[in-house]
Amino acid sequence: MKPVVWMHEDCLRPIVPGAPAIFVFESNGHSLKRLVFLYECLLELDVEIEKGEIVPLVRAFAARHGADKIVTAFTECPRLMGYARTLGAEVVNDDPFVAAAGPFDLKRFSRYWQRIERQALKL
Amino acid sequence: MRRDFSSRAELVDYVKQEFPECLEHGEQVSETRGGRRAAEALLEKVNPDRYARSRNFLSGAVTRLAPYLRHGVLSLGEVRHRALAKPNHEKLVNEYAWRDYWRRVYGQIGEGVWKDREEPKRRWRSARELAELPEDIAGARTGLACMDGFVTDLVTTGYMHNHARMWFASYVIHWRRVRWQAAAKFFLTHLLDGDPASNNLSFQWVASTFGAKPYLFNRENLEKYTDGKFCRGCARAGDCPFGKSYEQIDQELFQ
Repeated sequence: MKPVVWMHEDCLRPIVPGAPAIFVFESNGHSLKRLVFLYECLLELDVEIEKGEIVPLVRAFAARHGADKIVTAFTECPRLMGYARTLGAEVVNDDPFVAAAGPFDLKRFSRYWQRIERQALKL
Repeated sequence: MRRDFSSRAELVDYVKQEFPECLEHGEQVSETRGGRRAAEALLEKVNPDRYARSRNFLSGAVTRLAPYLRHGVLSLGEVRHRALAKPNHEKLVNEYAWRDYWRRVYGQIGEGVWKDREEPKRRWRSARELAELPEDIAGARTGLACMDGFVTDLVTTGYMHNHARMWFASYVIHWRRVRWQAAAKFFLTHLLDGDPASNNLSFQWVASTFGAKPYLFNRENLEKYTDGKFCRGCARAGDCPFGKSYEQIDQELFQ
């Protein structure tokens, strides 16, 4: 398998060591300070930085590297996961807060905390 | 895009040139640096015990990890593990769990984070509700030293202490009767850690559209946790809208 990674702004850390990675800036209304912060995060990573439309740029990157798989990190953001689906990307959730399996009662935080507390406080 | 920069100033100039539309929100650049190295340095300094005892004070030992968690430079699993290795970590881990909770709710409702999750629990005395953030608030010109100070810090640094976020949100929503979405959008533009999950759902918690009651504060509370730094010399100290008991504030604002 020869994967490439599509890195998005919800997970700026390596998820497949050694695999070529691309990040695409979208037009998203961020202020200058937020864009500078993001850019500085990217400069510490081995990642190609682009701007424009995510799907065609990631596809072109994958083709350029002869990849047979696109991998991306899980996020709750429906827009980003929509792109992942369009790209047919494998989505990985590499380091969740706790490994407890759902479904969870999310009506109030107290209910959620009650359910995960023991696991969250255990090494 | 370019990766070779000889200085931060050169990077900033390049970002301005490549993303000119961002300049409509100002030209401020935060002193907070992006990247794993800066995140690691902060993570090393986290003191869960001092955090638990002082986090509500503006001068308290807060972690400043939010921008790195928001963008996944650090994972929630990783910071939880690091906290567990230090004494008195329960409160800090509980606060990390809030971020995980907001994310899970976001995963469940998606763009629904922009809509009221529940009916507000109280009705304001006045039905007037503003759809946009008023100029005096966004421009730090309310005359209230606290609120103007919070906005100035936010716009300048991309950071606002969590307690200040709560006071500011309460002021905007309940005293000024601005729709929470307008303030949430303002935060997302400027906060380095702005994300629709923690941000919008916290605004909804203050508004009581995702909580049991509206979040209110008074001057005594704000003064205590800011060591009085805003109230001293505030131009509106004489007619401070927060200088009342909770009962008086409640009666003034709600039916």
